[in-house]
Amino acid sequence: MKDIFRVRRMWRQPGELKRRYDVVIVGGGSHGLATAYYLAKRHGITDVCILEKSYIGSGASGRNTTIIRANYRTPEGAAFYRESVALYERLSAELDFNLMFSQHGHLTLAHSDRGMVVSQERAEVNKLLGIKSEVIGPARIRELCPQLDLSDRPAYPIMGALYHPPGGIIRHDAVVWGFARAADRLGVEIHPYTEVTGLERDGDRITAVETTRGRVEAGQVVSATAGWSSLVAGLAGMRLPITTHILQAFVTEPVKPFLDVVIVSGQLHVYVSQTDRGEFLIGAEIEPYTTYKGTGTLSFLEYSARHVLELFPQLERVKVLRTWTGLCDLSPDYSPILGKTEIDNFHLSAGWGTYGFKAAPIVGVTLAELVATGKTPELIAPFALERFHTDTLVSELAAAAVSH
Amino acid sequence: MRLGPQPRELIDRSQRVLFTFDGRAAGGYTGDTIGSALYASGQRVFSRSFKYHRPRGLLCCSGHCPNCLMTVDSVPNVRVCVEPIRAGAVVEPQNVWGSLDRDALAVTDKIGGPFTPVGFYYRTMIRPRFMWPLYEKVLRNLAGLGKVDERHHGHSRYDVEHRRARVLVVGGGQSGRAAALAAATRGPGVVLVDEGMRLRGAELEGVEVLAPARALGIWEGGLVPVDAGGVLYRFRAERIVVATGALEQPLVFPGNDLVGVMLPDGVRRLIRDFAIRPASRAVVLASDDDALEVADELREAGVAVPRVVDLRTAPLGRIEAKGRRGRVSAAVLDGRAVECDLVVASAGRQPSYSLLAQAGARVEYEPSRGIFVPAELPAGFEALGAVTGEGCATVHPLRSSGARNGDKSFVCVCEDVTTKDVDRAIAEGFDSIELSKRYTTVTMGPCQGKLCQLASIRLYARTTGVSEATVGTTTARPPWAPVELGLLAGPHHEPARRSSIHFRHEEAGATIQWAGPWKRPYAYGEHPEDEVRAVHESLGVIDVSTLGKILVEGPQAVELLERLYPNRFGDMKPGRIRYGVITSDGGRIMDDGTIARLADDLFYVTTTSTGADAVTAWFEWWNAVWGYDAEIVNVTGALAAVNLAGPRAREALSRLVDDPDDVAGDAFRYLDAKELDVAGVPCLALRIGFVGELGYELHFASPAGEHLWDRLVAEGAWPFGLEPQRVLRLEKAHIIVGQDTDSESNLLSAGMSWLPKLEKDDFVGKLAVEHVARREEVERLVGFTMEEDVVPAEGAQVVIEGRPGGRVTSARRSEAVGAVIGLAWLPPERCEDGTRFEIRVDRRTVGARVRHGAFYDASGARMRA
Amino acid sequence: MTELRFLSPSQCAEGSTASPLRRALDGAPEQVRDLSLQGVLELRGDIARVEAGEGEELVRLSPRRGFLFTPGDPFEAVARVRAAGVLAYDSTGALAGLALEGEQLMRRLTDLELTKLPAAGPFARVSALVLRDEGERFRVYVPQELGHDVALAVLDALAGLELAP
Repeated sequence: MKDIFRVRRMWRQPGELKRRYDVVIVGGGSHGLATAYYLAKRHGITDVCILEKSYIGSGASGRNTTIIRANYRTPEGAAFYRESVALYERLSAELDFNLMFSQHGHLTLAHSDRGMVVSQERAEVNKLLGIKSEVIGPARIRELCPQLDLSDRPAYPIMGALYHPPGGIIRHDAVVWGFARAADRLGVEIHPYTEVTGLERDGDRITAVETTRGRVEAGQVVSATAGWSSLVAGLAGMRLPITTHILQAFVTEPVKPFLDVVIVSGQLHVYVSQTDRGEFLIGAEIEPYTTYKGTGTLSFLEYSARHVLELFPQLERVKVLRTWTGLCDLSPDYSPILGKTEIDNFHLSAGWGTYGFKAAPIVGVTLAELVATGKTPELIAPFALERFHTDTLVSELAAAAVSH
Repeated sequence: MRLGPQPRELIDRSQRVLFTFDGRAAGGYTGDTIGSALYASGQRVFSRSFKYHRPRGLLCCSGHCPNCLMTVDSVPNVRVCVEPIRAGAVVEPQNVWGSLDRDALAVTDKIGGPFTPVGFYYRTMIRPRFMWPLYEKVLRNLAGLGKVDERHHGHSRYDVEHRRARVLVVGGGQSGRAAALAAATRGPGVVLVDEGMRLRGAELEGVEVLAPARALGIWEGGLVPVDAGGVLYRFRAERIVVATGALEQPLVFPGNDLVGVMLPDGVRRLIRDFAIRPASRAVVLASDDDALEVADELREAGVAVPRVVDLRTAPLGRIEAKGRRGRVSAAVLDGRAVECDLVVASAGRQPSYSLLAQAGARVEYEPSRGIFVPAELPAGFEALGAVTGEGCATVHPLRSSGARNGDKSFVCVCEDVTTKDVDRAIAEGFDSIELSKRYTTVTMGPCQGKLCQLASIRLYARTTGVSEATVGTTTARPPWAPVELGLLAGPHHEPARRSSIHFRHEEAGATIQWAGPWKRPYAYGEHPEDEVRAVHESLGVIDVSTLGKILVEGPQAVELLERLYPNRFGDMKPGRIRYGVITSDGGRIMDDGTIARLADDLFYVTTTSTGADAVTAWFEWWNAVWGYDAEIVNVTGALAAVNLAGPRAREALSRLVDDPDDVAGDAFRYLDAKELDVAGVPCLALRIGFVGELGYELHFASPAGEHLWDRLVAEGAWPFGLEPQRVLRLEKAHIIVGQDTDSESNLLSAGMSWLPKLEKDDFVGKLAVEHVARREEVERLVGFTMEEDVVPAEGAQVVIEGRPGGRVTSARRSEAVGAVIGLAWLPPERCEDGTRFEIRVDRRTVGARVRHGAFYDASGARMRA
Repeated sequence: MTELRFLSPSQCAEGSTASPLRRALDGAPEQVRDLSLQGVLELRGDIARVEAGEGEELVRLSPRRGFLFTPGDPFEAVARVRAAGVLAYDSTGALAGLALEGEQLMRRLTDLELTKLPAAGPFARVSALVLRDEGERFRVYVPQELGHDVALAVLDALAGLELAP
């Protein structure tokens, strides 16, 4: 409480870059910051610097629709996100920063019996792994979210839903700031407005990182740059199996509490929640073309608006206030690319598509362990880049393609 | 309160309009807005603020600021200052705990300051963790402005109109009108869009005037959606002229949000448009000539103006507004109090450049005039008038330096962000404008930064000691003004695909469901098993018009298909059919279907119901790559198709064809394709057996759908739906691509190692299939029977040592087999025929045994009969 | 060699064919007419070799793709065009056709440029082929399986215009 009366800096003013760091992390988003934090906290590695080309959290971390959930389709994915949700649940206390994690439950609607089967499969996987998930019918949906139009009037009537009680929303910026503050206090250097322009490679190692503010030598390098991953890997001479697309989201003007749960519809390609500020936060499907340009199309906005009203016709007079886009780095099997690469000291967190933010703390824990010990933690072994060579992909497609 | 007739007033004093406000009768004139009518009748407090619940009154009176947001006819967050009055409207204040005049939550303003500084919620309510849901509930209830009417069921009429214009002029001020008129002399196709009421019904020669209407932004390819209330015009124009003018900027000083502190334009509107005397004593703090003129207009309207300050020439060190119960009672100028009930204050005008920035213009700061101006317009855009910076300048808006004990100075009235909040954010390290915006939420409220962006940038620059040019602006994003979801959504149509037989299914009482983009019958009655039994014992018919159907024709049709499919087709004789699977270049199963050779250079390919478009595109893409002389024609919609199946199928068909010998056993064998006239309808008949009984797929011109269906039903065929079909095919262990396979499944593990002809030179995915053949197998798709009479969920998990070890993709109870049967992915070492494994069903595990081959009629005698 | 008779509604017995729009357009106003079942061929190959006959209309989508609208029997037209060395397919059953009147009605349904027709593009959220006749008269062809919903959207747009001032 006393904290609110006292003005204290969240992080130090960035100074000059040092000549060398044990670990250089490219990308000052939730993944990079979490990795730095856990490196310092759990492994005592504090000679770490984070290079961010803009301000911290300026990329996907500050542009996602803040949904946290663990109800994935593959046992590998579900087990991974289960740990992430568990970490998120304790994170406010750990970071001493209120991330406002609002766990009111997450409903993935099914409008066809194919949709029901996909929901069932996820529920079965989840239950076996101890993740709370169940398939529910319209009556139970009505209890959880009476605002939904459950009649047969919509073009896509609701048949059932995958209900995931621990799912919810969080303040995305707070996650970034909480990790940044904690990492900074443990000695990690955060350098915003410092863009990486080159990676010096000597055989199987990266030796130094060139930036707009000079060159730094690096013991190990981590890229956690989401939408720009293919470009950063390109600097190291690596080609990733990633395509980059944009995803649009928007908020409405704030209204009084109306919706507590998170509503997702794969068929309608839309997901809706209401923030603690009262805004409806609505996300769309990724747009189908590849681009690094961050502007969305009106057509997609119209499409999403139409589908939100399929679910909540009462909202037709609520006004859209602000729209934005983020970049999504899509992998072929919709599972992340996490861990070691063909370059010995270059590690990746990439290929997250639309669901990287949900993984921030567990990415931090596992990548930090990998960097500190040189060993790939069991939990992320299935997500190695190598799987595209060994042809052992982890198909999250059915669950992830449109389920946020 | 009304003045005598004003020369340009918008009201019609002969037309009185009545409505209710806060449960009481209220009134005004035609031409009033709800806001002007309320103001004229003495209402001064219009809303309570977002966080501190401070009373707020009209500020901009032009639809930008949040101060007049009310709920009108159950629609939340309506800016009543620009909402036309209408008879019978029900107008309610919102975000009020109590009444507009006495709001219980105003206590947060008194005590909240020190306890609820910017970002306080990030630092509090963390422990104990179990209390957070309760805290959160309180926070949620405090947030938000208006209420959504939960009884409102939507479905209002919204239309979209696609428009083209030679010249689209946005903004109907002097320069906009002049530009439109000039453009009109050079030809038709000139449209002028203006937000205000004044141009409603205005006539400009040769110009189409849309007013009040609002250009919402510049989107892809110069697309400009225009909100005209109920209709969204989507404009594409050869040239877009942006003449959106400038926005008056508030001054930031203690008490600057008190009721009675207004922007000059707002005051002018009240006098000029609505003939209202806005106050009795006014102090004018002007930063441009326009604002000085307002002082004169006030005097003419009979308002005493004891003090006019031109801030450009007579800078004041300190300005403060003092209030009583939230309403201005005096302006304190450099320590001298002047009693008044209106403070007209502005820092000057800032170009309203958002649309240009969205279009790609750069925005740069001009320190000499204290404004941001657009630069480097993209091609096709023109800027005219004040939006270019013409006649615009601001004085420094901050007039509160050193205020320690005074009232709050608001930088952002939408979000109740004060100068102290911004200072504190910077001191805490939120030291870029974007970070600071996210932390304080300044510019994120309903005005979208129109009235707070400049002030926050200048405050930020002053505090951090960098220049405004370095600070820069935040990104201009559409929409320029809030727009109703309904208007963006447009009409309610969601087109569905229906087969030409569809309405027969509805008439027969079938349960209709979505299946991909199609609407299809699930089953015709309550008991799908009856439909299954009819197929096994007698005769059934199912509408399979949804199957993708593609003709591949040309001298190189064979080469094309041989390279698209792992299968071989060169050895097929015309009139024969083969099952085929398409693999992606990664060797994954994409789609399956049958390929009938109709002639040497003509093939008829069917795909799954959801695969038609993707497969056609896939074929065309590869054909373009390879350049074969073959045409690919998607005839999915051209043809209806039915599957007539059951032991009586031949007999029934023979009664409908001209010559029964055409369908005799030897004349029409299993996997033959044949053209036949059935009930007078030319059909391509395919003898295949997806559902496991003697069966014929008849493909024929869509318009004959109902006719042929009726004839088959008249012959005793039972209509069956998707659900019985799923049971029937499962009894044959036939897979459904996309259900039994996923995006990573390959042919070998799906049990189709016989299918790929690896000796072929090449086919799409060959490398990958070969790779899969070499590597260690991960999983395999096999059939199983349950040991108990329970049906596992599709997606149920195979449990091996307490962990997920495989999954069920299909499971049904089969009467014909007398057991619960299914398909599952299992580890290869557990795939021997008869191997026992366990499946999780509800909260226990149930035994199952691997079963190779079809569950029903394993030899295939029935379908080959 | 097959003649692909099974593609041709004209080869079906008298009275056995019906328009996909007949339910939707039952009682529709005069501005909307049903053109389904009027003959149309899809063409592939060297379109330049196709000669349009009496009352026929050739629409080129590309040098190697097009449509031929014919008032005669499309099955016979297919034979004629094929004899000229161009592949042709009877598409009569594939398309639902609507004759519409009024530019504003069209603008409510398509963003195609109405002065640059014929063209293929979205109409009432469906892919369509749109042609312009004299004055403000238009023809719209959509996949028959979507025709019912498109016809309802057209009627709804008409209703909207009548509501408008």
